[in-house]
Amino acid sequence: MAINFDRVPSYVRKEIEAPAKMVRSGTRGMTVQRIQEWLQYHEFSTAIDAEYGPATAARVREFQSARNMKTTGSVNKDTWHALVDPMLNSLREPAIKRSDSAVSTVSTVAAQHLTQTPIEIGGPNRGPWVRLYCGGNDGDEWAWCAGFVTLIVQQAYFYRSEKVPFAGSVSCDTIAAQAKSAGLFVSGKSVSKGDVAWNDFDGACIFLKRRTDTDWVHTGFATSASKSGGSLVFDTIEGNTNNNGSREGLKATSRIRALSKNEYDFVRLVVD
Amino acid sequence: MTVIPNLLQALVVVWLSTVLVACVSDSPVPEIYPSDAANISTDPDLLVETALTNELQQPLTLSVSTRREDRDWLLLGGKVNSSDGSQVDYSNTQYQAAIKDGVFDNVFVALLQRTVSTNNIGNVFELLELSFGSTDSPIGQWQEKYQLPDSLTGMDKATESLQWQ
Repeated sequence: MAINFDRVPSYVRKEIEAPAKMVRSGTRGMTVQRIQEWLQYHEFSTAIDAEYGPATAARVREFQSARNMKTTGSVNKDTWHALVDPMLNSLREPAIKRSDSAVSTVSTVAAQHLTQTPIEIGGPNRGPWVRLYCGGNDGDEWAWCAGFVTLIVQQAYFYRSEKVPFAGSVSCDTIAAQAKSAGLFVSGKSVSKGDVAWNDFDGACIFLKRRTDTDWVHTGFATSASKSGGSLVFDTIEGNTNNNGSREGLKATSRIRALSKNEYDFVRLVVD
Repeated sequence: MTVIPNLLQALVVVWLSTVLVACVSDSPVPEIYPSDAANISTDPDLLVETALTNELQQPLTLSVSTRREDRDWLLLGGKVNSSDGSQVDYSNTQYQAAIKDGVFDNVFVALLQRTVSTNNIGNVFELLELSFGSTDSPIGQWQEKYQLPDSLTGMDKATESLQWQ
């Protein structure tokens, strides 16, 4: 299903809307930077310097050739759409039925993003995916795990034409505060003790990794749970996390986490 | 992950040794000026580097990629490397568990404020906040706490809130 460009926020539109004019050698600016970032995403890497020089043009030709497009070395609407196709796919209206619950819609949208492998491009906390999740911002200071959660909840409720249960934020602490205020916060202890059963989350929720009672340092979606060796483990979809063995949070991926560590709290995705 | 408490502890140690050296050798003005506060220096990069060196207990160099200044505020961000340019060894640090748990970013963000020194050395910077290794953005909290200008945080680039409705 198509994206309703008139209704999504402008910072989202900026990332995906095709430039009005053909972009070619000699052009400079943010549109060129976006083209270079997407070339890198598609493994046609070139320097990300916002200047459309011969190297960028050569990479564009290679990209066009690989996609069986006319190899012009310039970016018209077709080439642009091919470049940003992963983000378009992540933002598409999900294939949901009217009878699907809001929680199910959030899970579907989260999976839709995961399929496109959102990843930092051009350095830590940089690139089009980070800007998508952080309201148009990127850079060292824009760690994006909370923004990833926020955008997906916003997107899911937007397509359901329902009010979001909490506003969301780029900060885990703010999400926790909003959830408490909305009566959606569930302490990990109450889940461990059995006061809240996993089924009470209707299939999925947000997890918050706690450092102290007032400081949460990471977040993502808990999409299912099961018992393993007597302990509850939950599958996640989370942003700004690392590959197995790597030391850098740089992409969205799925992981498995154990509740037994008593370092997680949860946020319901719907108001009772 | 906020490292200021450890930083203060470490800088007090640095201060004591600096005062001792200054007393016995009439050395040039030290880089850290504890008469104002333990986390003050004329060199903001050095201030952050010292803090992170103490936090990670190994010699480091900063690779600063974000440097934004607005009035008296300074925001620094970037990566840390070992002093020889290689990757930092986190194996004996508190961050090893975070790396294993997939909740670690090899990035620091520091908020500093220019202030006037009380001992006639001109403008100095005070390190107010330092976030290291976090996968969660500190910007919203800092903006609220210090009422930072949007141009410092980059919030001015966002044309509207995160709300879709």
